[in-house]
Order: sequence, then C-alpha cells, then structure tokens
Amino acid sequence: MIAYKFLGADATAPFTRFAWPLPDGRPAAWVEAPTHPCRSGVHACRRNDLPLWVGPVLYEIELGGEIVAGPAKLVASRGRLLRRVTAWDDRLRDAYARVCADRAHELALGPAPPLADWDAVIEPSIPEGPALLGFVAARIAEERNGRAAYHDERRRQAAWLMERLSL
Amino acid sequence: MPESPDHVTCQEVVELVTAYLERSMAADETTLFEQHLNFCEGCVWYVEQMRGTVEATRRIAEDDIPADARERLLMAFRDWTAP
Amino acid sequence: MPLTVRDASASEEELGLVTAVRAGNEQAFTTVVERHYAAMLALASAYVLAPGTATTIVHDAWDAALAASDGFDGRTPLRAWLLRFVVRAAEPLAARPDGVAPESSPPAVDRGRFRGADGAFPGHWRAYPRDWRTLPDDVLRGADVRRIVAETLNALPPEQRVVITLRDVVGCPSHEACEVLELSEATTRERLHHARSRVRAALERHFDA
Repeated sequence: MIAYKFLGADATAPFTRFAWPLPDGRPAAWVEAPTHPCRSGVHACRRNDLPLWVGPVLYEIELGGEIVAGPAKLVASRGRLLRRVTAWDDRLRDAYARVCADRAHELALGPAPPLADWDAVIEPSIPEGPALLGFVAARIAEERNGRAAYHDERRRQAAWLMERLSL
Repeated sequence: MPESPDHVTCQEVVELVTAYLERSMAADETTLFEQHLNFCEGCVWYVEQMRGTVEATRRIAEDDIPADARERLLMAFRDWTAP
Repeated sequence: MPLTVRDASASEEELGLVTAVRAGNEQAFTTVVERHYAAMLALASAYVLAPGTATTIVHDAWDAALAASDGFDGRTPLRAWLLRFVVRAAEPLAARPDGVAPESSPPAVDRGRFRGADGAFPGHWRAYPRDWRTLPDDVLRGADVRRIVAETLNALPPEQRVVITLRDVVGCPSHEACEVLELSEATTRERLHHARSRVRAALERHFDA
C-alpha cells in the first residue's frame, strides 16, 4: 500500500526521532516495526490525513505486513520510503500557510459577528509554519460552524495539497 | 478527558503528558496528542521539559552504601546464619 | 521505540543468589546488598525523610527479608521482593504534613497561563514555555538542579514522593512499582504525574528566575 510520511528536515521521524533510510532513486531499505502491543510500528498517512501531519519534508512510503487504519493515520508493521515528494518545498509550504491564513481571515471576519480575537492570532502564527495555520483555520471554522466545519476545512486543505502535490 | 473528539488543547496536553510518556493512552487519544505536537511548538517544548525533569530526577540517585551500613548488615547476616 | 520485554520474574542468577544466601554464603549476601541497598534506602527515605529513621527501616527490612527468605519463589524480581519489606516497615511511620488532604493536587500548570474559556483558542498557551534544549548542558546536570529536585521531592505529599522515588530515582518500571506499592497503574501514574509536574514547575521557576 502506498501512503505518505512527513519527516523532519534531517529525515528523522518527528516523535521517535528515528532516522529513516532514504531512497536514492531506488526504494530505500524496509524498516520493520511490530504494531503490537505498544502501538509502535510504522506510521504513515493517507492523502486525506496530510493536513494533520504537515512537516518539513514529505516522502512517499510503501507499507507492508500488517496494516491498521486509524481515524487519522495508518500503522504498519513494515515500511520503506520510495521517493521524496519534491513538490513539497519551502515555496509550497509558504503558499499553503498563506492559503490557510487567508481562509482563516475569511472565516473569522467574513460573516457577522466578526471574531476579532480569533483573527488576531492568524498573522502572528505564520512564522510557526503551515501545520499551525492549518489548525488555526480549521479551528476557526469549528468556532463558526461546529464540528462538521472543522472536518470540512481539513478536507479542503487535503484537496489543496493533493492537487498541488499531484497525489 | 479531552473535551473535543477532534483536537486537544495545550491545557489538556500538560495533564496528559505523563500518560503519553508512559505509553498508556488509548490509540485515538495518542493520535490527537501527536497531532497537537505536530503544530504546537510550545507543547513540544513542554514535553521536552518533562523529559528533562525525569532525567534530572534520575540523577539524584545515590548509589553508594555507607561503610557502617555494610558492616552492620554483615553482622546481622552472621547472627542469622549462626545456629 | 524498541519493545520492552516485561521481565516480571526473578532471573536464574537471582534465584541462585538467594539459595546461596540461605546457605550462609557471605559473598552472595554482600552481592545482594550492594545491588539493592541504595534502592531500599531511597524508598525508605521517601516515606520518612529523617535519615536515621530511614536507615533503621532498611535494616529492619533486611532482617525481615532474611527471616522470610525461604518464601522467595522467584515469581517477582529480587528488587521488588526486597522493596516490599521496606514498604511494610515504612508505611506505618510515613510522614504526613498537617492539614494536607491525601490526593490534593493543583493543575500541572497554572490555569492563567492558558487562554480563557471565553476567548479565542481557549486552552492554548498564552505564551510558550521555554525550550530547555537551549540551556547549556551543564546547567541541567549541575548541583543547583539536583538540589532543587531533592527539595521539591521533600516537599511532596508522601504518597507522591514514594511513587516518583520508585519510578524515577530508583528506576523501577511501572509494573514493578505497582507491585511494590500494591497500587493500580492508574493510581501510580496519577501520583507520578502530580509529582513530576511539581518538579518541572520548580525547575522552570529556577531557570526563568
């Protein structure tokens, strides 16, 4: 199964700091990690999950063995990085952050009454990166229109990413 | 414990951090926790502070046995083994 | 993270040591003492604070362990088995600060540091805590930090101090601590959480001063 994985700029996984073997034109080595009992295993996301896990660098990953689908990610007993998604670069990251910020402004100030306090957080959040802006926009959508709107906003974000990344 | 089924707040994170480090949270809650850490630098730093705290606590362990304690225990042992 | 295998029973070597101790072998006894005395003293001190009393408790525990040594069946690790004797000797003597309700604990972080319920992004940091990775290495390892940790531990309610001592100072894994203290995982985790939160807060006050 093909999925996606964000890694840090140094190609380490964000929570475990595991250093992933990198592809060099060919798929990288398989990494084995049992999924039971402590929910370790190889974590990856489906295209719809991309906004939730936005990070510095994006890879396409092949998953194998036992694969468990959670609400926001996949956990597999083995995985190997296939290729870096080079379209996900600094320029696209900044563009995504900007798109999320603009949406957040629209949601906060568009309809009446204006959510000025919520709006005030948006621009100062931009230096912290696209993951935060994605949350800010979705959270403001939720404040406006409830839980379903949070998920709708995340779907919009995923659609934007899929289109720009050709996934 | 989290109020929302879709996201956790920083205030919730600081109460969940021990369960997270102990790996005792349910999978769904762990996922929400990690999603939050993915965008919230402040909470990443807080979790690191907690790790640093645990390390600092580890370092106050005193491994030496006072010399007189060793002697005292040996005497007690000899008394115990004596018929 | 690698899977940790739950080693919930004594090793062959430990069973051999206890057999040798029972046969009067001083070398075996000394080995056991050297391995476990420090942990026993740490736990006793967590109950009673006064060093003299803690030492007495530890010696009483060793006497009791020797007397009961034919009951060591290896189903628990030797350390856990020995620590149980400390718990039994220490619990009746546990220091309790006056007027403190047993399970009272403040939030891990002052509520005022988070955005309020009636504003934007309720529950999120008003201002981020500090990145301690920017602190010089020797600061976290220094004598000041050790002193603050020790002082904070001394000021904890004893039931929290006992848990954090077993888990973080002695290094018992969770299941061993539960066994030694005869508490559920949920209870030990809650007490550990409160204790660690206080120590973190004390260190934060120190670094931010």
